[in-house]
Formats: sequence, C-alpha cells, structure tokens
Amino acid sequence: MSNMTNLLCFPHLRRRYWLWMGAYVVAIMAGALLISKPPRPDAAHLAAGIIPLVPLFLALAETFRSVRAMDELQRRIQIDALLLSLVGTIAIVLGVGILQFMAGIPLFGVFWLWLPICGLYAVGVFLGQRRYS
Amino acid sequence: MKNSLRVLRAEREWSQADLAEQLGVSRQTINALEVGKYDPSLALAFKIARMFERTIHDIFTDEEHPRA
Repeated sequence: MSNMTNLLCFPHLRRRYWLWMGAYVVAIMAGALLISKPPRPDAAHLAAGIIPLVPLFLALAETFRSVRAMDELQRRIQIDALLLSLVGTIAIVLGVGILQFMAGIPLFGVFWLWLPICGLYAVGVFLGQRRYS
Repeated sequence: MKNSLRVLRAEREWSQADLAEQLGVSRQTINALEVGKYDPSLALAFKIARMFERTIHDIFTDEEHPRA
C-alpha cells in the first residue's frame, strides 16, 4: 500500500491521532476501574461512557485533516473505500436484521459493527490501489 | 481521455517523481494519469498545462469527441 493512501500518512497528524486514541483508551480504562458494577443509568455511569467519546472524536477529526491533505487521486481512493464501507455495512445490517426477524438468528451488539466497517474499508483501499497502480 | 503527459515529461527528462513533486501530487497519481487510468480534475489539468507551457487541449484529448 502506498504511503500516501494511508489515512494517517502525515507524521504530525499520525502523532495527534495516536495521542487522542491513547487518551480514549485511558478514559475507557479509568471509567471501568472507577465505576462500580452493575451498569446503571446514573450520572457517574453515563459520564464514564460519554467522556471517552471526546478524545475519540478528536482522533477521528485527525483522519478528516489527513484526507484533506491528500492529493486528488488518494482522496478518491479513500472516498470510494468509505463509500464501499458505508453501503456494504448498510447491506449487512439490513441482511442480519431480516435474518433475525425471519429466522430468529441471535442478536449482535452494535459494538461489532466496526468489523464490517473496517473490513470493507480495507477491501476498498486495496481495490482502489490496484485499480490505479 | 488520452494525454501526452509521458512524452512531455520525457522531453524534459523528468522522472515521475520529479513531476509529482512539482505538481504537489503523489507519483502514483502521475503514473495513473500517464496510463490513462485516471482523469485529472480541472484544477490539476490547468496546473499541468501551465507547467508544460501548453494549453489543456494540447495535452489532453477527449477520445469520444476529438478535436478536428
């Protein structure tokens, strides 16, 4: 994979990205250690769930900056890959939903959506790279 | 769309990396342009034309509607 095609191909953006992702992991771990079980919807538990989203959004903002800094072909490859990821994930969610409704297959947590999103994005980048190389 | 980018670049003895650096794009973009796998944006086409001191029509040819 070309270095330019990596979403976080620029060192200063990569540094900030990993800084915010590190803060996200620390916030998750701190929340898990400090908050008592079982889960319940009180202020402390809600805060422990919401606070980690701040560094996560900041990390995601770095990916936008990185894409904007790419040249037009690299941006096209990224956008095509993200489109494949979006459309593919919608198809998978609808397919699984119908299977749950019709065939009663087990329910999956929303957490597992990262699998088709990231998997299809990686496939999209690979196909884009191959198409334009 | 066809283009004469490879010929123009060769005339100046520039590598793909040289041209990419001058245009502010990746070498992969130059290669994709030269082999006709990618059509540039209007902004990039103007930049290329300025760099080679030609018009866009001199460098890029619309295969479906070639100029007479």
